[in-house]
Amino acid sequence: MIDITKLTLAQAKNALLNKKVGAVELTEAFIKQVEKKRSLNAFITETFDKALEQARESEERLNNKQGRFLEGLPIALKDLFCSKGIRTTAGSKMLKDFIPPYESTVSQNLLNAGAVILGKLNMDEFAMGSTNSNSFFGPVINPWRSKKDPSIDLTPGGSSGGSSAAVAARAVLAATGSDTGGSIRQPAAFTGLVGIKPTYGLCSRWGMIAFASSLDQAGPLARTVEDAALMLEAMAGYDAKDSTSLNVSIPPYSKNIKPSVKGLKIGLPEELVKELSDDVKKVFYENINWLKEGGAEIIPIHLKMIHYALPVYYIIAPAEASSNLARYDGVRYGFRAEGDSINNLYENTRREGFGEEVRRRIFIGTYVLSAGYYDAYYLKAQKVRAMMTKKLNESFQEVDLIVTPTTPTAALHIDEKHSNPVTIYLNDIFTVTANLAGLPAISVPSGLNQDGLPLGLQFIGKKLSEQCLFDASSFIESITQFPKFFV
Amino acid sequence: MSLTSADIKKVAHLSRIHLSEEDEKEVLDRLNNIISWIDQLEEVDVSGINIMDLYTDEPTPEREDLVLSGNKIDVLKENAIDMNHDMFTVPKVIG
Repeated sequence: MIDITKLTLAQAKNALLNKKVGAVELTEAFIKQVEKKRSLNAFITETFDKALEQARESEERLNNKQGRFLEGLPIALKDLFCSKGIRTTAGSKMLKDFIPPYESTVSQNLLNAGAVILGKLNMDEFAMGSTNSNSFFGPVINPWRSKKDPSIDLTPGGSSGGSSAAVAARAVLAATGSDTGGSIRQPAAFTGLVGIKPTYGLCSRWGMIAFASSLDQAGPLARTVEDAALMLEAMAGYDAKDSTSLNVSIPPYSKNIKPSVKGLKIGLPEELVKELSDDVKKVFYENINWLKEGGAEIIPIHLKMIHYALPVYYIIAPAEASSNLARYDGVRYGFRAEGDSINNLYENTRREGFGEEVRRRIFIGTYVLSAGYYDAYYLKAQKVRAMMTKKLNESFQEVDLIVTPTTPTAALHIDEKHSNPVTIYLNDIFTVTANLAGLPAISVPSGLNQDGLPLGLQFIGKKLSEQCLFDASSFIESITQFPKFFV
Repeated sequence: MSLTSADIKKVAHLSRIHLSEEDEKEVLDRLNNIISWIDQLEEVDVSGINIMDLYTDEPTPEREDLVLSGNKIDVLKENAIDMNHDMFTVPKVIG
């Protein structure tokens, strides 16, 4: 008898359609797996009763040949997609008891497609972090172990760390994530998954708890390229409730996937990758050779401006966060600390309700927006962002894709402490540029480092080139055969 | 540029986040690390750059001017911390 949690999303979809497995049986198997993997701390809230109810409805629909696009397939949501009637926390004490009265558009799209939701996944508080250690609900553990020292717990990345750990541990078939500076792609790379941040505006932000509105974008994490494509098809789509939503039709990415890079021009920003560690460099240049052998033309490109992407990001994202998080004041909903005046109430609530990293970013954001510093920091950063975006769009006149490693290292030790926050911020060096320019980018497993830990390869494309990203990633997947590592 | 103790007190007040004496030194050190790192942007020449160039290709969406939501006191009550007479209660504002 097969272990049905080893099926990919696409395989499980077929198994349900061909009646090899029932929707309730499938959901029950994944519930067992979630229970077995509780030590990873991937879930903040489990919704098994509701999931079984959904699975029974799915079974009926499938029996009546009325199955929808993701009918009966167990997935889970990063805990910043508001779920009507289900606690949604954004990983924060501030929202630890918050029950949204409405459903986010992305999760509603998944529900409309028939997906079964097993629960809400752990994350860095308000999506601020790269290690998932900034969650009020505790850190998440990566299911992968280093060959060198298997006793050490590793981070699953962040901020979508619960999503990456749950999918990699086969506790769900796929999960939603959100990506403001790399929060889908970096955890995907750390756990051997495929993660895509689509073009800004492809997935609605309505009901997705905001971090930095001009950068936030929802996307999926999955074990294969095809699964990520299936998820994105269901999640994306125009939404009048988000004024930045793109009014474009969503192609059937999964059906269209061609695992090929033949004839593609792929830009390689050499100055960005020259400082990689030997370990990462070796896998990266092996990937580049595969692309060449597959018929792609590798073109060196010069994007000196990208060196400034991180400082720009760490001005713009905190500035937007300081504004977005001003709403958490202890008056209308969420956590409240006592105070003998209204100002004390605000100040005590926000001191106790937010964790250290969130407070730090609010301070930075407030500082760069404050009188006397606005021009020197915020306006300057926006101008550098505009220059960078222009330069990147110009590069796409010469190349179809840009390739980089997803991260400078494999998964870090969970207890690694950094007294200087900048050390941890540097993790996002390859990923933030796509957010600043609103471009789509994908991370696909590219190989293992010498400790047997997964690494990711990132492709960045021009606006709305998701299909091209899936095709190139599928080509890499056809060589690495990466999903086999999970079996 | 680096932040002084007076700067961080002002930022904490603007942020409406209580900053204790014990917190202050550590917060100041860490913020100064970040600020000195982002100061590298000083070397970029941005003359002639218009930030609105970022947004030229996206038309502003419009919708019909209709009331679509509002007046949902019962929904708000479900998550309210403290309400009285359908209003949020807070400590006395005027002395």
